[in-house]
Amino acid sequence: MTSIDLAPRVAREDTAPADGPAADLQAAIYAAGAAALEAHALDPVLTETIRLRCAQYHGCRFCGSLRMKEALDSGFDEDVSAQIGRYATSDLDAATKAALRLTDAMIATPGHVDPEVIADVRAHLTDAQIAEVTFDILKWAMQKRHVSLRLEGVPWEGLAEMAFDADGGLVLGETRAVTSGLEPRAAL
Amino acid sequence: MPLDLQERTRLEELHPGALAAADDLDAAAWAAVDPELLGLCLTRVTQMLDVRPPRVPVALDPAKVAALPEFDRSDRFSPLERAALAFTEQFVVSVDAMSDADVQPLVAELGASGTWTFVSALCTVELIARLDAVTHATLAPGEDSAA
Repeated sequence: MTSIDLAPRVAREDTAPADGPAADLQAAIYAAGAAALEAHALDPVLTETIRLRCAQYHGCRFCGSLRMKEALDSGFDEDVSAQIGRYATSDLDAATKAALRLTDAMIATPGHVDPEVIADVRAHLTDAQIAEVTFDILKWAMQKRHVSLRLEGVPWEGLAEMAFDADGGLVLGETRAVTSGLEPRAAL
Repeated sequence: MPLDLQERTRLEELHPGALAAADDLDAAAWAAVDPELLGLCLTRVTQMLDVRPPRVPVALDPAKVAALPEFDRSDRFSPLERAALAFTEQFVVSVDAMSDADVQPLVAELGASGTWTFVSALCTVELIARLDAVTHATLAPGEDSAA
C-alpha cells in the first residue's frame, strides 16, 4: 500500500458532529461500547487477545499499537500477542483458541459458522462468555470506520497502554518500545 | 435487531444492558442517514454475508433489491447509491484494502462529515447483522453450553 493510501481521507474535525442525529449516533456508539465493557465473563487477557485479533483482521494500526493495562496486569505480554496471528498452532489454551475461532467466524463467515467451530465454542466457553465475545467484537470492530477513512494513524512510537474510564472513554498511558516478554512498565 | 424473542431474552440474561444499548445504537444509525440508502447497503451486506435478510424501517424498491448484486451494471441506481454500494462491498470484504478510489466517490456525494456519519451508520448495521448471525448460530436458548 502506498503512503498516499494511508493518508486520512477526511479531516478529523469532520468526525465530531456538534448536534443532531449525527451526534446522537456517535454518542450511541460510545454508549454501546461502554455497555459491552460492563461484562466480565471473559478474563482481561482473553479480552485483549480478542481485541488484537480484531485489530489484525481489520488492519487497525491504532488498535494494534495499544495494550490494555488490565490485561498487562493480568499477564498479557508480547509473547501472547505474537501467537494471536497463528493461534491455531500456538500454545494458547483451548478456551482462547475457541474464542478466537468465534472471533474469526463473526468477522469472516457469520452466515456459515462451521458446526465444528460451534461445538468447540460451546465446549470451552459459557454462554455468557460467548455473548461477551460478540458484543466485544461489536465494540472493537467499530474501528473499521477509522480504517476505511484512514483515521487510524498512530501518533506515537511503539506501544501505548490504555484503559477505559467509567463512561467507556479511552484513557491513554505511557508508551514503550516493543519487546517480547514481561518488562517493567511505568504506571498508567 | 432481527433476533427472535427467545434469542433476545437469552442475550439480555447473559449480557444485561448490552442488547438495549445495541438497540439504541441501531435506532440512532437509521435516524442519522437516509434510511433507504442505508437499507439498500445493509441488504447488500446481508446478501454478501449470506445471513438473514435485515429488517429495514422503510420500504425498499423490490426491483432495486433484486438488482443489488449487479448494481454497478444497473441503471436503477443513482450516483450516490452506486458510490455507497461500492464502498459497502469493499467495507464488508476488507476494510484495510480499501483504496482512495473506493472512498472518494462517496465523499464527493456526501461531503466529509456526511461520509463519516454514513460510514458510522453502515458499520453499526453491518456489525449488528454479524452479531445477530453468530448469536443465532452459537446460542441455543434455554440450553447452556457445556463449559
